[in-house]
Amino acid sequence: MQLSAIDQIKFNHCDFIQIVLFDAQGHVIDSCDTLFPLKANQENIFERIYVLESIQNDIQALDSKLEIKMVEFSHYKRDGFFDFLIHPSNIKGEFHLIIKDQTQVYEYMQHVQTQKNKSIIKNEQLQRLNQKISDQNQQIKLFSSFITHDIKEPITTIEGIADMLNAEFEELIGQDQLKQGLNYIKRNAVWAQRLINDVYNYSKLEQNIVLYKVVSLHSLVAQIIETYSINHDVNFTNQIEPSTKIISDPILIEQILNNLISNSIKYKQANKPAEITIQFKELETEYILTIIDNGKGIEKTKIKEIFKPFYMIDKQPEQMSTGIGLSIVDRAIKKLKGKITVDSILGKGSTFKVFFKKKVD
Amino acid sequence: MEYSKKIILVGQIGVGKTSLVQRYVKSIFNEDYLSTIGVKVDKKTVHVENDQVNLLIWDIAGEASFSKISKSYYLGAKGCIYVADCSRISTFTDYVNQVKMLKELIKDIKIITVANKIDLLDKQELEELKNNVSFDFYTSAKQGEKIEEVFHEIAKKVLCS
Repeated sequence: MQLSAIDQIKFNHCDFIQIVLFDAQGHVIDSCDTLFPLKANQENIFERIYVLESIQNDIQALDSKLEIKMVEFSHYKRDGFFDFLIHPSNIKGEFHLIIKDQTQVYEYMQHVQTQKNKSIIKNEQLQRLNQKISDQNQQIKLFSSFITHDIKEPITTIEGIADMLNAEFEELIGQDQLKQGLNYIKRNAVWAQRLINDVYNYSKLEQNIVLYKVVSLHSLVAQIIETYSINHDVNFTNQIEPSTKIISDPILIEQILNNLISNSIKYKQANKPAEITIQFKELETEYILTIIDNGKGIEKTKIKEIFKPFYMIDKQPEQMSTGIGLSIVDRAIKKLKGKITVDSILGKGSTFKVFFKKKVD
Repeated sequence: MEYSKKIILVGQIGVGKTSLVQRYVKSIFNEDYLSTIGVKVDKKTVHVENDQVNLLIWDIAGEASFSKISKSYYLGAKGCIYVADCSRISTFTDYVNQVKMLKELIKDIKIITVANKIDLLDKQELEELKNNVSFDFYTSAKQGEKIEEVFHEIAKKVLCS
């Protein structure tokens, strides 16, 4: 078979190359090195390869070579990637077709491109998810604000009126039942306020970013102790050195201490003052804050449950517990990338250890 | 009468062009994503009234932006299916301009627009999408929703050209 001059043919022992001579109607005139078997003068190549069938009418008008690269197709159950080169012959109405097997090269390209595309698509999905979360957070913020301002107000009013009625009609309201009723109204109003505050604080925790500052830990603990010492039957021992300073978020530390101390007081043993000791230790990469009490203690099986929202070990109304305090502690600690451990003996007391990371620049 | 018409599928990466073709030609759907390299050509015959149209479907890789599509890929194309992904806004934010570019690149080409992967949206999201964009078809290659209609419509359009 005589080949017309075709530039840049490279024969590579790894490649299959089919050189076919066919006329303008797509009938094969001659061929060699078959990639697939063709009988000369008997095959219409346009019908065998869809790529060529698509451009059959345009081949007539070809005045220069046409390259169709990276064509994926199957032939005789063999899948692969091929480059097609169609070249007008010197003889009018004849064309040369070269099909070069590039499967190895393009399969590798496909693998690389697939990984790249998957990464792009994943990023887009993450962005969409982030936007959704951001929108939801915004809704939660609005809802929290509504709860704080619009629901608290009527409850404050109820509390105020109960106080007023009690004070104004103290002499008249000598009857135990009536007095009890007013006290009941007030207690529930106070409890509702506490619940609203706790739920609000819990939801806010998720949204707020951690703001690291230098905190005088001894002073912070002393302030909290003072608040609780006034109205409660409790003795505190602050074992933190006066000069102790840490770098952390003071609001989160305060929330953790407040709720742990409040919890220790609520669950103190009957007929005995609560004894609460607060300790501090600094390690290389973290701090440890320890709160030890002499309260009722916690059953081992319940220790994991106490940090879940609205969980209460024993629901005793006089304690006015909302069941959210320790959930706030848990969430605050997670924001500080820390953890909490609990050791407890029933009837003797509990030790809460809060580990939280030092800020790393 | 029998006709052979070349149509091309274009759109960004991962919108489901290959899945649409595979669903239409072979009635199969593969969950695993494999990027198309270059072009894959399939053929299917569709009957439009009294005519038989052999659709030669060129599934073009998404990486090629429209200005960089190889001439050999769109040479002789009579129809085009522009595909976007419902769940990815970036694939259809600029679809009006991209369709315009295609019309300038390939003279007299018939184009239909398809928003694929509706199975990823809930009813409300789909309604919202339809209110904001105007595609000719909303499809799901995964569930086989409206696939036949898409190719039947393009076959009808290219017969007139």
